[in-house]
Amino acid sequence: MRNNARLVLVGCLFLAVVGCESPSFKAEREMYRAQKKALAVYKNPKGTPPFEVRMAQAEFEKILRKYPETILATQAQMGIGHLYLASGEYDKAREAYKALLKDCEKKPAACAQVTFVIGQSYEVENKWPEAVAQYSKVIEDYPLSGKSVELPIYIINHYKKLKDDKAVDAWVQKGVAHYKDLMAKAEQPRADYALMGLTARCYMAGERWQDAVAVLEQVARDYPDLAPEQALWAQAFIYKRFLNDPGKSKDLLQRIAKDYPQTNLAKQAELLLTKL
Amino acid sequence: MPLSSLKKTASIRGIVGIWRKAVDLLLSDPRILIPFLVLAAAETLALWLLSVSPHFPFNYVLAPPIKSIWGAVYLHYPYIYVLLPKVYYYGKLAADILVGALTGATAVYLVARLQHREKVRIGSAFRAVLKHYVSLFLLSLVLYVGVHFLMKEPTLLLLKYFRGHAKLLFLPARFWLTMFVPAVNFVLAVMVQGFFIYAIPYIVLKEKKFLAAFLAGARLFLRNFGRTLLLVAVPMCLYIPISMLRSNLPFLQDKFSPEIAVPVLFSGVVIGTFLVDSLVTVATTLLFLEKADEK
Repeated sequence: MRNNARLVLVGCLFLAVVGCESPSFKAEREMYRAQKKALAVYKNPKGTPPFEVRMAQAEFEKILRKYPETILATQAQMGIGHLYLASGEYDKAREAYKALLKDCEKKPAACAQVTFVIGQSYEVENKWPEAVAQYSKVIEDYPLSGKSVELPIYIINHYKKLKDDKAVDAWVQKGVAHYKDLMAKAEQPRADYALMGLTARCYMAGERWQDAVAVLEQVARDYPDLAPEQALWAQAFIYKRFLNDPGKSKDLLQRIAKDYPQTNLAKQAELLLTKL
Repeated sequence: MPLSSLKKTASIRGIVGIWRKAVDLLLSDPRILIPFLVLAAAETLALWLLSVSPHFPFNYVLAPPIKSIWGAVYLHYPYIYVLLPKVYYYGKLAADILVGALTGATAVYLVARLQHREKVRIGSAFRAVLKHYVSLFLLSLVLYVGVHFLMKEPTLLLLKYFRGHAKLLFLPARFWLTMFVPAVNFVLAVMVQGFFIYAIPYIVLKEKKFLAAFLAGARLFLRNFGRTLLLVAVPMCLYIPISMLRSNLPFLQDKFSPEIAVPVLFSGVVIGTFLVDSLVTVATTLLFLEKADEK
């Protein structure tokens, strides 16, 4: 009896001291420590001695060896690439990223992310054409990924900064065509609604205000259950700020206040109407 | 010397006398500390169980509530240690209400018997107190639930105010939330504890029921307002460094390791439950024994 009690006590003490950590919890701890080391490099890449970069990479490599075929291994491989990128070794960074481009038919979202990161590595290296090539690949090869739907607007904004109007126009058209294509494949009205919103944002990024207003009007009309006052509000803003038509803007604000009186935007519209 | 100054000096001397008696009593009969050791052990057990909640076999019981209340991410590293102070707060609350109700009262009983130079055993003290468990439990429940909601009020009121304003009395929100709120919370904690502190001896030693004990305790507190406040507040000052460590826990976790939450919370058990609670209970019980029968 006494021996049994001792055994239970020893067992409890063992549990208390050692615990029953699962391998995944241990792996998460190792990953956290590796990421902390990497973060110190990202914060000050130029001031970090090379051996510290290598030490951070070694931590990631340890995780790759110990926990292959896990999500942590993917994160570790990405971390290795990021560390090369931070220390300016772009080709090595891309090599590390490319190691993750496996089984892309099964994992399209992950591959879209990796391809996007490769594009970003070219962008950091000031190789914009190569970056655009990667981004185009994301749009074409992984059209349903989250990255793919945001990228046309990202590219338009970049060309706008470069003041390349031709490229802006070309990418507005590409973006709108991309969203139309996706709309044709979409099965849910909510997806249609989101894609219409992206189309409007695409026109707005390209400063094609009339086209943007037309799409927003269509959104307000075709999706009465999905906060149409927001589309009207965006139109009012465009008319006032970019199309120099305060009258039309006022009409839209009155429409919000009258047709959607229970919404927050109605209160703001009424407030703005007193000032206009 | 004016009469008011004489009264003040006498009052402070009286407080020092009670402290001296309390420390002497604890040193001459350290058995008084056993109930606090039991409560500290219960709190430590709660802390340990919650810190190992993602691991086998504890995850079978503890993981589902954490998952459904705070989210599955808090069962992973390092988020479990981010959540630990919050979840431990509730664990400590449960331990204090269920176990603390008995241990505090047992200590009061021991102090009273030893003060009357009577022989007493821990077991018999515990059994004598157990008879009043319902009243003691209700008292603890009202005290801790009251403190729980009362402590949140100053922060909530200030947050509500700063939603529409940038400054209050020329001072920014940061000052009010980081300096003023902890000070107000400290005063509130002392006041609330003062109102409840004499109810325990009234239940255990005078055999009063919950409500009568609370009212008599509150009356005694108001009659000995200054002395009781000092007896409660001075030991509670020992807890200020722990409060500072706890409020800077995210910084410490980032600087050192997320696991640092465990020793910081454990130091709260040692200082708060073992040291502060024992000093407050013994000192206020001595004052109770001195003043309770005065008309």
